[in-house]
Amino acid sequence: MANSILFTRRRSVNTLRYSVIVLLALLFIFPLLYLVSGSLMTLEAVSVYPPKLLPPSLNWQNFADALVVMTPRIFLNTLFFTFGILFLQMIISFTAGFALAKMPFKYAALVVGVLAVPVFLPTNISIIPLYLVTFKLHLLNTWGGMILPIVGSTAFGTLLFRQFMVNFPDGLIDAARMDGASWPRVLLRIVLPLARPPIASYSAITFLTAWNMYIWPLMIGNTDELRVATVQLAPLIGGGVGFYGKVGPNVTYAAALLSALPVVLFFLWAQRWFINAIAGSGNDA
Amino acid sequence: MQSVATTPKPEKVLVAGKKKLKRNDRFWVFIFVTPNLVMYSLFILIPSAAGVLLSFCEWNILGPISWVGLDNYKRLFDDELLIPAFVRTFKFVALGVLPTVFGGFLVAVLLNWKVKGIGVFRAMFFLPLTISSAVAGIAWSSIFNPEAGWINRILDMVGITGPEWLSSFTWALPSVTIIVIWLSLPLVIILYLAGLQRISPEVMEAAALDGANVWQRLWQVIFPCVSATTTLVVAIEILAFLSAPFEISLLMVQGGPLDSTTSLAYYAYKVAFEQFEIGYSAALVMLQFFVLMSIVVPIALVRKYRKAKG
Repeated sequence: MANSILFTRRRSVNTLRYSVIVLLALLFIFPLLYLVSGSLMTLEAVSVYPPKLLPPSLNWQNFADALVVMTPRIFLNTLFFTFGILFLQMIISFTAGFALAKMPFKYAALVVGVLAVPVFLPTNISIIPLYLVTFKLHLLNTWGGMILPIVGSTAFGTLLFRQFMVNFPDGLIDAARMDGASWPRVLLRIVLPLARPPIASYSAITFLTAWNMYIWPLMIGNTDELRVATVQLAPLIGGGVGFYGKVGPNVTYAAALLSALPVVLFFLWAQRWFINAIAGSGNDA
Repeated sequence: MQSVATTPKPEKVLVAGKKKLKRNDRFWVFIFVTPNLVMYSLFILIPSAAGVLLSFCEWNILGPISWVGLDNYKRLFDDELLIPAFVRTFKFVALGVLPTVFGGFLVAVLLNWKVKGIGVFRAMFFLPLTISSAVAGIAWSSIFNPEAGWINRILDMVGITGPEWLSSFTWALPSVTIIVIWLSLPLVIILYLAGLQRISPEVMEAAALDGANVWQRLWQVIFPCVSATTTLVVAIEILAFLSAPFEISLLMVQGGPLDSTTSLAYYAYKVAFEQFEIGYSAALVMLQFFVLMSIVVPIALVRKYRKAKG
């Protein structure tokens, strides 16, 4: 008797909790839901007052029109920018993280300290000198100038990989070394195959950061050859005119969705690694 | 730690071989570490140090750089535009941090629930994490649109004529804050979810989210259990609201209307890129850094003190 009363009370509480979650979640992503809805409306439908929640008819043409903004070239640029940063930074962070944790190196602690120094300095302090360095290296308006300065921010990756390596069993490495394996061989054959978790976490975070980066690519690569999605979209905010003339809000929404789609899909696919990477950084809390 | 780690190393290696091995070790350390350090020094360490040094110099980009000592820092005291920028920065932090932290905590508590389909809703709350400022700007400028946007439409339905939001002197700063809160919440929710999952099941059982006094138990039992996460989240969010409104403000309102969203970071940007006073701009960024430190260092010390006490 008592049990069944408790049960029904619990069930109604659960229903309430579920409803609150659903409602809050929908409200929370409403700006994005409306972006989707508006991207499928005709120009008339998207411009009327009061605004419509759902498109009266599905106008897929907007996405074809949006390709004028989010051209294949812009996609390729963004991909190249993102993966250029991802791979180059990963290689130098992974190798250094390994050396700092597992190789005989007197100055390892010093290097770790140096890497952590500018963590709290606002990035704005270095942006003009960074621009100057890029200029002196003749890298303005080049892929090198877009990618290499960002690759330089190795602290996050190096410390992440180092932390993983510190907990990596010494026995496996020592055994391989005794068998005469060289350091690169140890790194590639022993450590790398077991390092999927930190690599996945690192890749998830870096992919997201690089794909959404705005200020640096705006300063260095605002040309047709180099422009990435964020720089291409930014002038359209609030109905502004882009680099390719004026488009309606419905087409703007479609273009914004196209630019966000790769990251959103990647995120949904690899959600676990994002969460691990982020929650892991708070683990020592 | 690991039992394998204590295995004695072989003593029988020849001395000559050992020397060769050592040289070999050093060679590979060099190969593994140098590219990283070179890139890091060239693009992070040296520019950061140069930025700090520039705050003691005068430079207009075209002319020569001249050392002026503490002049830029003295100038901070006479700058009439600085106090308003300071106040706006403070408003961003004051309006933004508390809703983000408490909102994030409450959503995390709701989502910390093993039930079918919860993953979908978690993903929905994480989504803004994946969105660039440019896409967020496009989405939110449509929501905030004074004539055709949804916020004013809903206010209209209850008989209120909404303000001009992003083009209003009064409402632009709160609007930008709302967007930054929206962009910051996923991280806070994720950190709190991780924190909640470390609470022992017995405690969670005792604080089961039903019955009388749910609200009280939430704050008196669960919230203290995640205090470590709260300290971390508060520090992260203070940092975020000191700097993140800059990019949104730059993208959506360019520090306006009438400087109403010009924070310290934005003011420093303007001094550098519109007035070309690089040295003074650097001093402004250093001021921002000192403000941050004066908030974060005490928080970190308190945390350390608590940890030491157990």
